[in-house]
Formats: sequence, C-alpha cells, structure tokens
Amino acid sequence: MTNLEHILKKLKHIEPEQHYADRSLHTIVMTPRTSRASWFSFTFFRVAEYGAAVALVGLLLVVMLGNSSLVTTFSPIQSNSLSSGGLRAEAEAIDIQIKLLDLDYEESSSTLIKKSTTPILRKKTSRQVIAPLETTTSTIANESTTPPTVDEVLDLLAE
Amino acid sequence: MIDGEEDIIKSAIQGEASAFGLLYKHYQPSIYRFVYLKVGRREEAEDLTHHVFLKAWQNIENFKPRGFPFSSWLYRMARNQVIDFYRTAKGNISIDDLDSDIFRSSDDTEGSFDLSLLLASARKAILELKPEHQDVIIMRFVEDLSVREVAEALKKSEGAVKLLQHRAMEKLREILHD
Repeated sequence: MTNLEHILKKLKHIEPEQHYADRSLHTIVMTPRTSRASWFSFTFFRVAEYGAAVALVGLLLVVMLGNSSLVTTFSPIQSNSLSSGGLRAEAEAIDIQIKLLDLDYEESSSTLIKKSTTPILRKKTSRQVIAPLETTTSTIANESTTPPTVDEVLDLLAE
Repeated sequence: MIDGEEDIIKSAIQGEASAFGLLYKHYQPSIYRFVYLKVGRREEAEDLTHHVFLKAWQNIENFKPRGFPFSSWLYRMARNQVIDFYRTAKGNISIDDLDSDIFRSSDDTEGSFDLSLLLASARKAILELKPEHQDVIIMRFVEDLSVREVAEALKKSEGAVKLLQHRAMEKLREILHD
C-alpha cells in the first residue's frame, strides 16, 4: 500500500454526529411512504375511468343528435337505394337509358333495312315486290322518330 | 454488507421502520463521508445525506438486488444528489470555505496536528479532482469497495473503473506534490 493510499484510508475517520444521525433517521421513518408504483397505477386507472366515461357520454350524444347521418355514414348498405326518392331517381335514370338505347336502335335499324333492300332492287325483281319495299325504306328513312315494327313492315309487304 | 441483508431489505420494503433503521445505521456513515468529501462542508453533507436516505426509504421497493449490493444503489443516489447540489447556486463552494475542524483531535500532540494537516490537504486535493475521479478514489480507497461494487454504483464496466482509478491516483499525486 502506498503512502497516498494510507492517507486516504485515514479519511475513514470522518463520521457524522450521532445526534444528527438519530434525528435524521427518526424524521425519515416518520415520513409517510408514497409508493410510486401504486400512485401511478391509481392515477392511471382514475384517468382511464374518467376518460372512458367522457367518451361514452360523447358517443351517446352523437348517436342521439345525429342518428340519421350516423346510420347513413356507418351503414354497410347504402341507404339511398332504400329511400323512395332515391328509388324514383334510379328508375328515371333507367328509363332514360332505355330511350337512348331505342334511339340508337332506330338509327341502326333503318340503315340495316336500306342495306338489305338495295341488292334486291339492283336485281330488278318484280315490281310487285320492289314497289312496296321502296315505299317502306323511304318511309323508314323519313320517319326516324317512330320506327316500324316487324309486323308493320310485313303488313306493308303483304299489301 | 450486513448479514441477512436481503431479508432486511424485504422487511424494509414492507414498511418495517426497524429494518430500514438497520440499513441506515450500517450505510449512513459511508454515504455521509462520500458526500462530505465531495461537498466539503458538514451542514451540506448532513442535508444531502438525509435526502439520500429519505429517497431510499420512499423508493426502496424499486431496489432490485440481482446480486448487486444495496450500497451501490445508495452511492448512486448520493452521487445524483451531489450533482443536483452543484447544479444549483448552493453548490458554489470555494475550497477555502471548507470545514477545518473535522479532524480536530482531543489530544493536541504534534503528531496528531501533522496528521490533521495531511488529511486536510488530501481532502482539498480530492475536491480538485473531476467528479468521476472523486467517486472512484472515495469508494475504492476510503470506503474499500470492490471494483465490481464501484462499477455498479457508477454504471461502468470494471475495466473502466480500473482505468479511472489509475488516472485519478495519478492526478491526486500531482495535486499533492504541487
């Protein structure tokens, strides 16, 4: 052991006063112990309990005040299709689509008839057949709004 | 380490004041010395030591033995207490303000007077060291703690403590020779 280490060992003679030590110990053990863990868990559960209560009240208010909008937003089925207004709008939209399809059909059908009758006319078949066909095609071409039905065309041919 | 320290600590955790009293009586002088050698004044040392043990009493349930001594836990708290002390305005203590009557012996012989002077200069030299060096010097040479105990208290590896000890002793010799 060096001389310095020997001197340092001597510092062990430093000691607190007995009176101070006794007084300090007495004060310490008389101090109520605040368990940090239990305080934390206590506080945590109290805060969680309060928070849950507030959240439930808030949810209840939202349900009460905004029921319809909430159902609309969160419902898996689109409620628009179940309302009468929605159904009517949907039905009207379908009708429009049908009319548009008919228009398209009318245009194409008149063209088709014209195409099919042209070769017959070129072959110069009997006037009995050609005359009504010509009349029919010209009628169809002129009457673009009301296309003739198949029965009407046959009736025309039969005349 | 006290005989049956683990059981004593368990009793203290359960709030048994007498068990904590045993721990206090065993460790309080060492902690007081450690703090005193780092702050240099009796009043401050008493105050800080009191706070260390108050904290220990209030937080003893957080102490996990796991093979480490209770003393390391106390030294760590004492260290933090001293750091906090120096962070505040209270920590501005000049070396010249140190208590000088700490080693006053009842017999005023020439030898004891010389020893008192020698110890006072050693105490001042310790205060001039870096806090880490102070910790190692006090724990290893004044309190005779093992390298492992010091490492645990300082949260360093044993190798780091040995290195710190070597450097601290060199520095202390330097200061004392000046």
